[in-house]
Amino acid sequence: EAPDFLDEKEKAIFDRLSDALEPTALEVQDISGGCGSMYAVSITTERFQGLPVIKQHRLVNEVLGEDIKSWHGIQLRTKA
Amino acid sequence: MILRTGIQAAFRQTAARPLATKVLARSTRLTPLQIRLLSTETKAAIDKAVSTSPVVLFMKGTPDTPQCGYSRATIQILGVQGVDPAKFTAFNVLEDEELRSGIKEYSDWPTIPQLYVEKDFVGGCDILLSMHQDGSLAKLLEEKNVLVPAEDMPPAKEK
Repeated sequence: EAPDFLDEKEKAIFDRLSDALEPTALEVQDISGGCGSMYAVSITTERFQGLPVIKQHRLVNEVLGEDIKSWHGIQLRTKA
Repeated sequence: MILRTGIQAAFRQTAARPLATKVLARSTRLTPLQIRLLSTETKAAIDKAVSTSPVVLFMKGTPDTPQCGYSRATIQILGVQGVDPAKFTAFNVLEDEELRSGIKEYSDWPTIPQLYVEKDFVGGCDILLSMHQDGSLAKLLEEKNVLVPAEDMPPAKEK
């Protein structure tokens, strides 16, 4: 269900998050001008229900683990 | 609109402090595994750092001269909230590579800036921004008594 305007890397991230967290809403965008070094991720999933925002973010960090380490940064918005 | 410009300016001038014990030159050779894990000295140094003040921020650059948009945004948020500069310390991770990588292991958090309030990790810029917007940050800072007392605030300026 990944939209077709995502580039390869965006799609990889999208799929990884999709499989792991089964979101009802998910957006992934390269905000490093196409360099693949910074992403904006917006994710809504029932898995976040009852979790404080910081735990929601840590869950995403876990899923994207190794990737994040190679990026310059990430902008993350989570919703239950 | 209340402009707390006096407080914000004083806040930004809080000099960033170097890490108490700069854990730089090692004389012993370390195996790759040891290098990756948080060394006991670095952990101890960071333990000490997060205890310096009630509010501790690990950022890129200094409060007066942030070197990154997210660090700058975080400083602005803390300034607008009216955090007492006397209860605040900022550490510049760009000055110390060990701190820069150490704090990410220590907090188990991949990015800078990182805010600690009373030694508890609160979050990074995204989290602080949403807490700022929904009022939970103001609540936290009030509870922890780290805001500038009301009498010290400059008079409200009308726009």
